[in-house]
Amino acid sequence: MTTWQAAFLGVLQGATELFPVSSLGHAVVIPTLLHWTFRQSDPSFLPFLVLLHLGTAGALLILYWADWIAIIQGFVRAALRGSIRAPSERMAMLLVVGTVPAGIVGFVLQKPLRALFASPRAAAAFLVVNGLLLLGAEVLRRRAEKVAGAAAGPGREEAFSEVGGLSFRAAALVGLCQALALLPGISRSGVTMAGGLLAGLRHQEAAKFSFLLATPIIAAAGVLEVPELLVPGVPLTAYLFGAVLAGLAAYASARFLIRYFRSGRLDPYGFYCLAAGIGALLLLR
Amino acid sequence: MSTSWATAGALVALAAVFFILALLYAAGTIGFLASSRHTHHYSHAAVMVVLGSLSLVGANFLRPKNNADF
Repeated sequence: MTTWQAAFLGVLQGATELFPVSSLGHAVVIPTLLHWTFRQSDPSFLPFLVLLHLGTAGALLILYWADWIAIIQGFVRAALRGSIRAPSERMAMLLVVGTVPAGIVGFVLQKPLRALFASPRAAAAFLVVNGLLLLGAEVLRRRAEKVAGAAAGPGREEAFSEVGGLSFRAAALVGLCQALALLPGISRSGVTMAGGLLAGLRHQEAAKFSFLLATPIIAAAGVLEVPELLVPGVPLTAYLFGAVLAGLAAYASARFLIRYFRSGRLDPYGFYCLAAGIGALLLLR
Repeated sequence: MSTSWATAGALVALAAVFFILALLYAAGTIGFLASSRHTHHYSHAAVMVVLGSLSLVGANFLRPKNNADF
């Protein structure tokens, strides 16, 4: 892989990671469509993608640094005491409950999932599934808005709750949704936001919970995968350049999405995933 | 949240299993769920330590207490 290819994939991954359109799906499909010669079945390709994700996680840590300090302090306090007495402690435990399912599934299914990264067709097919999931979540949300008697327009969000109001059962549901995102083509932010919407969160709150959930699971993947890059022959400088660009793109994406989800929905991203997935399947025939 | 010594004890036992697995991964005695390229699976050991620690946290939450929860 050349430096420019790594840079392109870095920007692509950072921009698409937080948008609910599957960064992994794009990183697996697009190089094949561009007829790039490096092999995605190469042992260093998945660790490279994880390194790009670490760039994204770094951007999210910077964006939510104050929240993370409160969450870490809250986790330590609640863990030692064995009970929850403050909102930051509750948020910390919600993130633990939301992270564990995907962590365990990813750890157990690491080998079979690795094989899927070599299959651009599988990634394109899952991109279609991702689009259907996003559109399905919004259909259910519109029904919930009718039931709740929500106002039309941006004010409709007032009928739904903030992250602090999430139950632990709902956090586990969002965590199980996150496990689906281990499949390339299924968006982690997309399915966790969809899970958050089903649990009754506002769009912006579902996005915030999704972004907070991203950091620990990406860090865990980094612990498992990045050591695979520390072998001779891997273009580590090019990969690190890609990771820095991924972080910059992710920071800009997160700022945009936080504003977008004040009143925006998942529909445009659902339609995009459907079109991109079907288009890629046709081109990869 | 319902609490009981039995559930808390089960989580402590689970934590012990995770810590033993961590030691076995680090020593290279087992390679289950790991690539066969390395003898010592330190990353897998780290994951086991995290799971063991979370089990202990869960046990601490589930042991009967007199304090009112949030």
